[in-house]
Amino acid sequence: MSTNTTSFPPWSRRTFLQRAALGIGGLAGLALQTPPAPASAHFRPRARRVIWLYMDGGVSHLDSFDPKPRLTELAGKPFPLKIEATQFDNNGPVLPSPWSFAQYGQTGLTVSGLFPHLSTCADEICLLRSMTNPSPVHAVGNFWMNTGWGVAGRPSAGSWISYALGSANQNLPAFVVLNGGLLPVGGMEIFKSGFLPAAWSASFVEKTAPAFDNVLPGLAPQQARLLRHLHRTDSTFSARLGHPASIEGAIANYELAARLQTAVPDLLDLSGESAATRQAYGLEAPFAYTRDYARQCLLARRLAERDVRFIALTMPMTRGQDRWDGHSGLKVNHGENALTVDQPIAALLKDLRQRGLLDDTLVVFATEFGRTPFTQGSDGRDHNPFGFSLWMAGAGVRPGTYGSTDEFGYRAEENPLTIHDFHATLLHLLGLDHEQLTYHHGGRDYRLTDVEGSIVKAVLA
Amino acid sequence: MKFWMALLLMGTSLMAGWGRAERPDPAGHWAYLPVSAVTVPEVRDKAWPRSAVDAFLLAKMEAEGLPPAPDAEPGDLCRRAFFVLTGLPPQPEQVLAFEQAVAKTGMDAALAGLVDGLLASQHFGETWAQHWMDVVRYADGKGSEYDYPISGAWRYRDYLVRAWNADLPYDQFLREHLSGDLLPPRLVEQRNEALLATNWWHLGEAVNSPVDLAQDEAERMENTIDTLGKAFQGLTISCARCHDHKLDPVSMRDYYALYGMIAGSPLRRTWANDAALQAVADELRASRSAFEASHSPPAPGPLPSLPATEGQRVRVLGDFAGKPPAGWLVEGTVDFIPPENAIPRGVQPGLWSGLLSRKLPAWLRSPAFTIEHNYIDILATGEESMIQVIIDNYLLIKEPLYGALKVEIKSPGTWRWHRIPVGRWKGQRCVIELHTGKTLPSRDVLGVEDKASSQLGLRAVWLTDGPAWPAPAWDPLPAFPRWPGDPTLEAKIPAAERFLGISETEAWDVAVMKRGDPHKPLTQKAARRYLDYFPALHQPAASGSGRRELAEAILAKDNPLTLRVYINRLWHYVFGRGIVATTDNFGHLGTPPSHPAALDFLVRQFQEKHHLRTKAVLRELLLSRLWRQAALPPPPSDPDNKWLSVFPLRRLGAESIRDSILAVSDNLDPTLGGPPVPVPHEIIGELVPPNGPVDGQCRRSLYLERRRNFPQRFLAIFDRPPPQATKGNRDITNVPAQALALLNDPFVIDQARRWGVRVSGAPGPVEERLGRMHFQALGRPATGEEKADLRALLGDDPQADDWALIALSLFNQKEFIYVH
Repeated sequence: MSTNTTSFPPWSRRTFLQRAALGIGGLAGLALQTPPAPASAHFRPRARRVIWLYMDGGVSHLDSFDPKPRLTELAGKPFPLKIEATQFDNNGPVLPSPWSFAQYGQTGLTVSGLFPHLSTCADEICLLRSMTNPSPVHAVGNFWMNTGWGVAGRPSAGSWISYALGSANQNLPAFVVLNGGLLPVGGMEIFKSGFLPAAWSASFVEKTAPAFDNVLPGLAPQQARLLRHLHRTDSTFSARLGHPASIEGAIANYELAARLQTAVPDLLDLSGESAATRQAYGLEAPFAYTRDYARQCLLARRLAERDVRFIALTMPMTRGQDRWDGHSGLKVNHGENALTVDQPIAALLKDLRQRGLLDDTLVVFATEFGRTPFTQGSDGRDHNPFGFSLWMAGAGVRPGTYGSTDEFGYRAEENPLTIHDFHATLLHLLGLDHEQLTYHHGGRDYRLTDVEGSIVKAVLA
Repeated sequence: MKFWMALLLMGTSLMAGWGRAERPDPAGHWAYLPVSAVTVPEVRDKAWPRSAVDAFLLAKMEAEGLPPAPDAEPGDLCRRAFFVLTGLPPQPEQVLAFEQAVAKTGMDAALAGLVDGLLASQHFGETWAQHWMDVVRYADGKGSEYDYPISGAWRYRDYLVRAWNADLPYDQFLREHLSGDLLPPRLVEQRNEALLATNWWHLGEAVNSPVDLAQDEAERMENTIDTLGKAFQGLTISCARCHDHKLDPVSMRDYYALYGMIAGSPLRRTWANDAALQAVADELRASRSAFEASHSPPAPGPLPSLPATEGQRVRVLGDFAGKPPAGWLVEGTVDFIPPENAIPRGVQPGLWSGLLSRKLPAWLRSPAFTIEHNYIDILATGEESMIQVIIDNYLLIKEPLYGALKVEIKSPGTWRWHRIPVGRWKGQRCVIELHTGKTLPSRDVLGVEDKASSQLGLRAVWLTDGPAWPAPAWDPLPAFPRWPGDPTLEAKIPAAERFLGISETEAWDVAVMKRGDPHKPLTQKAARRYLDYFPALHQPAASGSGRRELAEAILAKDNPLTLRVYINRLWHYVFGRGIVATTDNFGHLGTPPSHPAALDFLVRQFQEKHHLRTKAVLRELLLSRLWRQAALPPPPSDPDNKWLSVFPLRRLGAESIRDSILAVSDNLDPTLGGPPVPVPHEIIGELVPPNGPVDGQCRRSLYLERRRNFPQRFLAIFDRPPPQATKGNRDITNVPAQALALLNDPFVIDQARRWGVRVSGAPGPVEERLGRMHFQALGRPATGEEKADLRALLGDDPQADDWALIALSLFNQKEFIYVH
């Protein structure tokens, strides 16, 4: 067989034959087997899984987590530093943040008025204020942040991690994207497995039915009948050819497919969640998009409970707002986007903490770049990849603030971080050595971190 | 060993995973050695072989102690041949006819008849075009932000279908791909096929609004060179962007030699059917000449003056009063109007389009130049025409950063200076193009809308720094009887078949870029030529881009890679795995050939006996005894079936699965070619493509639109690769999503329903109808047990839904998607 033939998850032939002996008819009862042992980590992991809150469009660090009093002093004045080429080349004067900042928690985390709920979780948060991205272009920046490279074709971080650690749940995919409706610029490829086996691509959960592509909830009697029929005919065919591994794997896939269908209704059924939980996440919030994101966050917790490895959330399509991309009308743009995510994220952190899941779940609040300290037009900010913020919370990270940008928030200054550094740290938290996690493709070994990246030891708990 | 010296002196940074290993000597690597003259080996079982290929393979099997597998059943062979050659399953009647032919004339003759018939089928070209689309990372959109459509790319896809159906010799095919713009037109139905082939250069990904065009070009170039190297030479040349290749004899200088050739080959916003347009233009011209012959020309007036340029820094890039200026490329229907023609034609001197008919398109491209001035000033008149400035070959010209590089000409009867500010790109390379027709408001990279009212008059193109020029105040032309046009002839003008090709400039050598960074040029320039390691093959480009010389170096008889790579691709598609399993990498990190002598034998035969015609090779492979073997389990001593002592079982490709579903349920629309059918998607947001029908209009999968950001999901699940780079060897995954797609995908359900409804309403006994469905789907009659199983699944008093369940069950049988 060719080396790029794979099956999902890594079944042994013996396991398959045992399972086949049970017959497809046993499926509806879903007698679960011991999960296949996940591929092993390189060393003891701090986190078992990741919840990846992807803030598509470029969250302004200057208006969220990185206050700059100098901008208030220089408000309306020409920007004093050399300005690099910007996306719109429509650069105006210095723009102070319209939001006020305060310090919260024992770490004194500084958070703006955009995130009143999140500020109550200050002591969970490990803020990185000195991130950089090689590109100021959305698609390229998104590829960098998600795949560690600027063009399509490399595996997503979620794919690398799933590939490395395997699936811990037999009935659900290892890498799930809870799609809010706005696919980040660059499209599905951002969450694909690139040259890694396709089994490690993200499965998308949509807002509308069917939530998973081609997955019907449950197993209708007719479909169960069909599966029994197929099992008979396929077994005969396989026997005729001498039980080739590819055919047997394909037969086994029907069993997995059926199990996924059986597992999905339970996953998506939120009726068992308490009124307090629903309230806390914002499922009854007045703003419709808060309700959307609340559902995504609650599903993220349910996926974490089911030990799914990498759970990514994309932004809901807020009305008229082009994601976090506040080129104009920054106040409304960031105001509505923050209103969408603030309460659900805070509730997610508290819920995970309360259930003990935050001990082995890493939550990441990521974006492709920050925004400029000077205006674009009159009331917006352009893209700024030279310095911006993201944060992590949960398993293995030390709450507090790391790194800084210059006095204008234009460039990372103290301890600048590349995306490779960030990915190296992420993998480290999952027990993976970013230099050891390689895949041979097209004539060379590839890594998530290419040929660079240093672990940010200071943020490890 | 100059190459290794250079490599050691360059200093290196080792890429991941390569370690500090010793570098192998390229001279010892099989793929760089000349194709050898091999003799057909002796075999013990003399009755087995049907062809020389068989002898090579059998000799290996005998050496390994492996007996070849018995022949497969005729029915299985028939289905196999259909899928390999046409990507579609046979109809029951075709299987039965083949079985009868075998019984009557014997296997050899019957198989030859079947294969010849399939090679002549129009579906042959479709399937093999589809393979090639993987090789050149075909797409209908540029991906990244907005996924700019590449309209007209489908015309290249149709070129491929025609090329394979016509059995175009490979040298011609390759020459057309690399330099079809420099070849004499190869007209098929008045289309210039040679020029159409050059569209593949434009099929890579591109980024919307990058802030740094030089960097962006370097990224685009890496993908283009990667595709060029893998597709035609089986080499990973783009590894040499930042450092000399660690294992194969490809230096940075080689990489930048190719870079110069491609950078020096700007776009060509062209159309395929100029011959058809020119035929009408000739008639119009004759009509005009006849009219003008009866009116004696008046005394010419003076040449209308241009502004004085004393004291200004002005470079005249083009003065169009009279004759074409040097270095400009002009296509389509234009008139150069010298002063003596101004009064009879009723227009001021200059270059004109639209005088014969405003429906006839024209396209002009300036010579390439380095931007040294603040402005491009263009003195022009007309309407429904455009000026576009192409910097560093960047085509996604849109606001916010690049919107000013595109200017519409809309001043009929009035000459105006059009000023385009380019000062911020000083030092970068640029060409100016002017074309009739408006660009579409969408982000389409080709995007010209031909207009019946296009007119363009062009007098001057200047590069300047100073204040804007005053509008010309020229005397109006005196009255004179003028040709009124010819609406009858004009009505015969066909629509321009537009696509994006490439063109030639007086190109330049680029500097080697330190670590691949375009802002860090080294002093060393890379002369434009083929790889240094093969000195006998490369001729430096005398003038022009060097693509012509490149094509000849690649096609040189002594090039050890070109035909091996191509023959291996054919082998791969026939047997499921190439003699070299890594079809796109013949270098040190590729897999060594399993049967090097057979490969070289086939190459020699391809050159000497088959005259580089593909169908003859395929015929030879499909008529071999090797190909006839049954798909038994591989022997324990050869679990990977390296020695091919059994036929390798394999899953159908994504397109064949979808096409088979359409074919067996009698819903396939067999129309050949045409614009792509949009695919269904649920993506919302800015500028998403139109949402297509679930059934894809029942067209074959290669006709479905292939936008990078909107993959056809069913095909993606079955491993149709995203169009990133050459992918001659698709992944074959085996994942639950495939089961779910065949069980629940709306396309599958829809086809099953339609088939079910049709069979439900058909006459005849239930058992007969069930048997027919089974035969259609699997290419063989059902056994007694299978009939009983189907009858049980159908249930009593079957309704259309129950018949649809039968259809669905057949689509989901593993036998449906595996060839054996």
